[in-house]
Amino acid sequence: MRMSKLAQAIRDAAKKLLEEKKVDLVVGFAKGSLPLRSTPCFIRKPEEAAALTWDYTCENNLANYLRKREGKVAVVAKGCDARSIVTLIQENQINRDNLYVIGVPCSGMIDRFKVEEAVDGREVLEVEDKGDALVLKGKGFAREVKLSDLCHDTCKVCRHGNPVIYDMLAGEPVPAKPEDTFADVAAFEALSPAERRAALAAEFSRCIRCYACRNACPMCYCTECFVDCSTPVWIKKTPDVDDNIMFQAGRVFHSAGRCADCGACDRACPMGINLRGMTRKMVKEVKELFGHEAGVSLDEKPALSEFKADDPQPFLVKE
Amino acid sequence: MIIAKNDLPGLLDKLMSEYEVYAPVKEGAYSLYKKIKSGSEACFGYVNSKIPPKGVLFPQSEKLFCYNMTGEGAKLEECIDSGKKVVFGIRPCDAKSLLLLDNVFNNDKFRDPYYLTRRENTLLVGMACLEPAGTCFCTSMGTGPFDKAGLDIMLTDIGDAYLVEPVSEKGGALAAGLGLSAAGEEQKAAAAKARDSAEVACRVNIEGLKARLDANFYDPIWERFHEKCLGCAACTYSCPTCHCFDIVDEAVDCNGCRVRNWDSCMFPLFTLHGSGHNPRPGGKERMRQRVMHKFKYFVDNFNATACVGCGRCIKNCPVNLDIREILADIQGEGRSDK
Amino acid sequence: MKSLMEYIGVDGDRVNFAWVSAAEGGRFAELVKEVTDKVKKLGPNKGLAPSRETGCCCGCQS
Repeated sequence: MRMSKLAQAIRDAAKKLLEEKKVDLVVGFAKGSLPLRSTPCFIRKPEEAAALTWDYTCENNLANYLRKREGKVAVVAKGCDARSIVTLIQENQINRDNLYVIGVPCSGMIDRFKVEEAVDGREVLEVEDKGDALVLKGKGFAREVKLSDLCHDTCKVCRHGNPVIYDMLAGEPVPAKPEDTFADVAAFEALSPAERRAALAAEFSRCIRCYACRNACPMCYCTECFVDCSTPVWIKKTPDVDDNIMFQAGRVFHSAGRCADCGACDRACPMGINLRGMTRKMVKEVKELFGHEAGVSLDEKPALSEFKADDPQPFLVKE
Repeated sequence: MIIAKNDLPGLLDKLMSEYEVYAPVKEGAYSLYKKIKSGSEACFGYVNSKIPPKGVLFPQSEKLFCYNMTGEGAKLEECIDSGKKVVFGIRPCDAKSLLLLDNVFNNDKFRDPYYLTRRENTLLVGMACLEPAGTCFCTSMGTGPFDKAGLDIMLTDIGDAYLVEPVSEKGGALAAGLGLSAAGEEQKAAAAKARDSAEVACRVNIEGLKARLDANFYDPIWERFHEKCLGCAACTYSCPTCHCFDIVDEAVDCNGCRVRNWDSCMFPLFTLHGSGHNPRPGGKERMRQRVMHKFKYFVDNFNATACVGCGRCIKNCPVNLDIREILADIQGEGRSDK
Repeated sequence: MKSLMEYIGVDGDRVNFAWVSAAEGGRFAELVKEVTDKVKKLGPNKGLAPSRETGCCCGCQS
């Protein structure tokens, strides 16, 4: 199995780094406590490295655990994690000299909500791996679903499955994919304002303000988040559709030119709200206006950190 | 008594003429307890609702009172909800959680009129769990898939019908008014058989846990549990026994409402003082608080564990932090591989 | 920002950006007047979510 080979390569690398005392800590994934789940883990001793794993359930963005770390740290990074790491290095949140990136080419992670939908909300107790398909089994049912049908929407349009920076690469690079067309954003833009409002209201009426989206985002690291601020109250503490949308809109502004479209927010949401419907609008906007994609290169300045006299300004008041 | 499944939507419609009826409603891949507008909306083929029905009695956000300034001075209007309610299809674990919450909202020191008024006017119609989930560990927490504690009526799925068993006096009165036919011996036997076959495979050992927690506040064991925790409220907001709240004024100028919202001990803001000092400054302290509150402080205060083993915190956690592993680690069972 | 506000259904005329130098007092006043006139013409913002029940300031559904 390719996945198990990758996992072995990661374990070996982590063990060696810890044995040679090149790093004090390896941040990676361990097997989770539920079917189709893995969980972030923190390895400090060479003998603990055996707990590391890798497969299509390693969906969390581990860049989130790297800001302002003491000591030397190694991280298991797939494509989107690596892009977030690049941006965090540019923002002086990570010291590149103290970070060792174990890059892992990624061909996509599984969406738990799609799994639940595939089995109609029933509980999956066991999973059989058939290579390009999974057999989801529970009490009195077994359903075979193609891996590509379970993949996160993020992963389907991701062009950077291969980490953009790494100190070592586990496994072979994955094949390149075509340019993202942002068809989903375009489709939403094509709706009337009233239709857009209705669609967003339906989506965000489910928000419980647990802030899992914000906390899962590697880019959300303000000392005080604007939603927590009480003087002034930028946003009501009470969950309410309008404020839920404004909370997300505020988050999206703050991550303009920084969001790598990793989908960590979307994956973290326990209510299954489509957050990427908003985040990707900004990703598209930044790309179209400034030709910038976040975290693709260490040498390229972030869009909002740079000023050019000929930057487009279609948003100015028409006079 | 017995009710055919086909007749259930009609029965709910009938109930709705007198009560606000809350029942599990399908929302995509999961279900949520909602106030239904028609009996056919309810859907009982679920493992466990995404968010527990505690919100019927203790809403995520509730107005306590409204105020406005008039020419004659300040005018106050208290908002006590005394509407008659039925929670239909509540699971035994969630019903048990309400018994635990009663301790918090009704004790020697405090009587919370908002919660208690709702509580007094709410009937709980339970639905026995025939297929507990892999994450359920209710039997380790003093309840179980057929536990009738706290219920007014218990329903048991016996194929094409539900066996209806009144539990409380209020439940008996409600059931008597529904004009249901009596259950035969065969149907009672079917329910008993279902009861015997429902199995909660997962066990969590809490024997001696309290004694360990009494002594381990400064134990280095707390250094690692929180490491992967994101500090969100997915666990506490989906917990049927979590009950911490924050009271805020939502006002424009002098007109507004005082509102009570759920709050979470996992947020840094939860304990932040006005001075800027935070007695629980990091994830370690906050994670310890969550575990301690459920398995030690609640036991100290009310002689009960504030967990019913519904497994929602396990399923909803974005990073798969599993309370069962934490408890096993504290117990020295080393279930966790870290 | 303007684009995102439009995306989530806020009328584009409610969000306005302009470059004004600190030396251009007259132009600033003109712009502010223009913008306030535009927004006044649009009337009060009814919020994002359609058909929300009004009456309560706290946004609760009662």
